[in-house]
Amino acid sequence: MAPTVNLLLVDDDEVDVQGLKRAFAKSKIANPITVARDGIEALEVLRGENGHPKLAKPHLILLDLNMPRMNGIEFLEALRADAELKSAVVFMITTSKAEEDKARAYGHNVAGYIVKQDPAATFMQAVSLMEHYWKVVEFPK
Amino acid sequence: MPRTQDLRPVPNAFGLNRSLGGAIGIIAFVALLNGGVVLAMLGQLRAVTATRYHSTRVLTAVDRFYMAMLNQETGLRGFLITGQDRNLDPYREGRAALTAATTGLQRLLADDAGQLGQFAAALEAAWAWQADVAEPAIRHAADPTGREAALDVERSGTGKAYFDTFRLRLELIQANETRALEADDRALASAQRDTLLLSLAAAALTALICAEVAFSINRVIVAPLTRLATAMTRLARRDLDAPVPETDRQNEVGAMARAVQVFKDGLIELDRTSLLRVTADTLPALVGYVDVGRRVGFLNGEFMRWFDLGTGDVSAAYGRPLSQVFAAVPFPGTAAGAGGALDAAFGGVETRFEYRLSKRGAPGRRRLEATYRPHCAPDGTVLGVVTLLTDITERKLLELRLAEGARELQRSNEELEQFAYVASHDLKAPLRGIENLVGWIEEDLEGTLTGDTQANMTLLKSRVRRLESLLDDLLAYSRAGRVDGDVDEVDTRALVAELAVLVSPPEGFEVTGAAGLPVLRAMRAPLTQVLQNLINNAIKHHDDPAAGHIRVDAVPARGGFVEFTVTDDGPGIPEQFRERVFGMFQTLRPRDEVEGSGMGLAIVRKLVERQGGTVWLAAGEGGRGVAAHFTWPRAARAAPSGVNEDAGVNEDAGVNEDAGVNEDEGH
Repeated sequence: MAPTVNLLLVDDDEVDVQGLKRAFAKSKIANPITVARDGIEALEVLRGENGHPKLAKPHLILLDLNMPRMNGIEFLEALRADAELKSAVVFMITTSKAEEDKARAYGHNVAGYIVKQDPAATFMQAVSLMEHYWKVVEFPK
Repeated sequence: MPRTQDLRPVPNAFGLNRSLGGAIGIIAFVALLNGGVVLAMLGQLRAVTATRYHSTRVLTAVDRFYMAMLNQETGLRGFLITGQDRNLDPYREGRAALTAATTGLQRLLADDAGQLGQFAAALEAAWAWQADVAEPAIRHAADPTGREAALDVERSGTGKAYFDTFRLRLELIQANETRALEADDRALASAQRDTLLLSLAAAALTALICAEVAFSINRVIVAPLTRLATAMTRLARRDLDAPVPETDRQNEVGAMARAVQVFKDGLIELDRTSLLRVTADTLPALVGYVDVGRRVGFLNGEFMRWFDLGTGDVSAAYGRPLSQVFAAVPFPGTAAGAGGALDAAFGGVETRFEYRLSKRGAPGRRRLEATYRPHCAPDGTVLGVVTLLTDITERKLLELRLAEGARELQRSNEELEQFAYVASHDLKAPLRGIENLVGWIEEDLEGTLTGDTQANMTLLKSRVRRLESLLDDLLAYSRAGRVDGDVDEVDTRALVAELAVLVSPPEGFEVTGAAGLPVLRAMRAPLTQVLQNLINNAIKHHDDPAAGHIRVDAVPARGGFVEFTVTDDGPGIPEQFRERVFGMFQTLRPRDEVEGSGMGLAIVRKLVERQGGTVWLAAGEGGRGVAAHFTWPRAARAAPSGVNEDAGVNEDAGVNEDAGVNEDEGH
């Protein structure tokens, strides 16, 4: 049995956070969920800085694009530049359908890019994908 | 351009001098010939006269000879009858006369052996008569007894025989000479006739040649010269339409006419030059010509209004050095140091530059646009420079204002689009939140909602969706035509067939494309969206969807356009609303009855007008339905200006797919 995957949700929209949490609850998934409001806070959580306890591996990051202070792409740049964190598995969950954003995200090796279209349905599908993903995929140490 | 005339000297072979000389030569020759003939005739006449004279003298001498013999005989007879000695005197005189006549005749007939022979015989007979008859008779008669013997001698008949002999000879000589005389007379008459005839012929020939020469002179010289003179008189009165005659003659008159043609061309050129000057003077620009020696070749009158040239007439500056004419204010592009424009133009390069110059007596400096164009010979040698300076002060101001206006307009347009985009996009995020929250509240209150609360909850959700749809279509409108994609070959018949399936009409609803739908070179995406919006609209508003029908037609239109018509058989739109429906957010029925943002036709109009086409609604067929007409270019131009993507706008918007917005943007 693989160790429990810790989820890091990086999103500044309370409603979206709620939606995802509800979707996980609906799917009866009890993996620990940590929420960061922007890229800077997410990095602090991952590194255990600024009073945040360091998030244990294996972890899976669900990342929004538009956020205050440090947006999703800037966060990815910082993450991939960090020797310890560069192998982290990241899924984008965003409202942007722009090709440019998709290209830039995949340029930073995200595992998937999910567009929040119809919130209720998308969250449920996304959550079910995550669940299958961490059950099948081996995570980096 | 003056016509190039052949002004080489006329070759002598065809020249007037040669032909006139020829005519005079012929006349002289005929006169000489005539003179020669007359001279020959005169010679012949003299010869004939000489022989006639000779013959006459011979005849006279023969007569004298004969008379001498007769006198001798008469004297002898008288003596014999009378016996008196004095009666013998005629005999003695006759003997002397005979000797004289003989000497003359011998001299006259010395050249004629025949006549001389005859004469010798006659002389022999005469001498024989003297010796055998006269002298013996005289001797006998001297003796008075001898009288009878002397008479016997005389009567013997011997004397008669001698006389007959020499008389016969003399008559032969006379006959010969008379014949010669008659022949001479005939020759003389013939010569006179010939001379007359020849003289007459020569006179006639001379007259003929003179007439021909006179006629030729008139034809070749006088008449052409008269015509030429008439033309020259007209030219002298500056009637430049007068054609120059005789230019194709190959003689001196032709050469003269060609020279006149050159003068005429020169006059025309001069006329044009002065016309050009007048024209150039009316130009609101400074037009000049600088020759290769940096002298003023030409300046138009406008220069007087800008420069103080120190003269009242601009043409006084022609031919003078540029530096001298423009002593006070240098000619543009020649000032020491910076002024290389004129030199560059003389180097064979057309030069353009802007120049600031004060107008004479006016405050402030004005902006001039200068173009210096080299004037080159066919071999590339620079002959001079044409200078053109235009006052562009007002134009520049206008351009500035225009550019400012355009910038302002573009900024305002961009702001508007940005606003529509940002508004529709940013308003959607909280809306989605509201939708989620409403959903969750409904979920959490499952089973406890009743009556009005449940109905209000449903209304709340419907209004949220409507707002979302409005924002989506606003976004679609703001993006419509901003990115149109590539121009491609579009088979509109196939496109309509695809759309007939894609729009998924209700059961029984028919969408058909006419057979004549063309293949266009167009941007597929906007054309698809226009057709799709119109078809969707027709379906949505149809009052009997189970039996509805839409037909798409196309006919060629003016200006390389195709006019499409989407005709339905629905309830139709009253005429007074047919324009209104193209406005943004315009609907004709409450949204509670027919859900719709009212943006569909606005988007259609924006897309069609972006292609340069027009769109309008007309009544359908048989009093029902709507015919939506729009024109579309048969062959699209290059990508329209709308490709300027608004940088900085994040396109993370959830666009309603039903609006048919083209999603495949290429970043």
